[in-house]
Amino acid sequence: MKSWSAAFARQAQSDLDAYELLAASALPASHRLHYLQMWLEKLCKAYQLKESPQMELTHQVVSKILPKLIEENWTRVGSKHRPDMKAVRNLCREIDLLHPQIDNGGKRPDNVEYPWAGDAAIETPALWRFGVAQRLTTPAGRLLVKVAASLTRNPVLFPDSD
Amino acid sequence: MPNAVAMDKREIAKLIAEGHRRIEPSISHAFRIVSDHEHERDEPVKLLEVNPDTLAAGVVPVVFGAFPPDFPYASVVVEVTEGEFEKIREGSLQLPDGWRLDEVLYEPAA
Repeated sequence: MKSWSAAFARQAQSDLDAYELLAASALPASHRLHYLQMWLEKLCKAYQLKESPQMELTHQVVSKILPKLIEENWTRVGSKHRPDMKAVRNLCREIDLLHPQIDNGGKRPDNVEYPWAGDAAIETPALWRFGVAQRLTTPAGRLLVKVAASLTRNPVLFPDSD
Repeated sequence: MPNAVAMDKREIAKLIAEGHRRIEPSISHAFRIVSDHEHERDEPVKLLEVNPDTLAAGVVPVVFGAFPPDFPYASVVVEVTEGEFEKIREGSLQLPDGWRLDEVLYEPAA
């Protein structure tokens, strides 16, 4: 790859492939949500300006960048349905919280990788009911996944034509 | 033809700002960002948008490729909270080297 952006974009494509395989499987939701979070994080990192490495985000990348990708896609490509951006931003925040290092100051220890101490027991991702899985079926959730998949496979807005 | 390029970029910056605000009315202000290389064709159109709904994460430039014919230039959008915008104005939060705020693309009516 000629650039970090191109490399992140290519890995995002592979993560999307894995997400779709897991989404079609009978495995626990934590597995597909893990790949969803990794896919979207890499997609977003592909669009960060790499000339300013000190300005690169390492956490909460989806909350910060994915709404902008959806907004820009709508502005340039257009669509019959205008996204509900407040719902999209809330969902992006929930997707960032799937990462084990992002826990909203200890208030949200639930994550898709490691067990955590719950109120009454030790909780396990494979057995946990993630609310975000249901929210992905709402109009905002379906739009988020659809636009992100489109930008991943057909990167019309991508800054680097490697 | 530097002036023609500058005019095109100005119009495109306005088009992008208007598009973003249509989809997200919470954007309170939008400014064009310019650099010393603004007259060069490869220099992207750059915008700063102030949005209370965004995550406070400092200056995170997000870059998009050109999308001709309507968007013949690459573009960069920096979205910040109102608090971060005040810091940029005070100088305690920096834009990338050589970038500076230019004309207002959108601001609330007085």
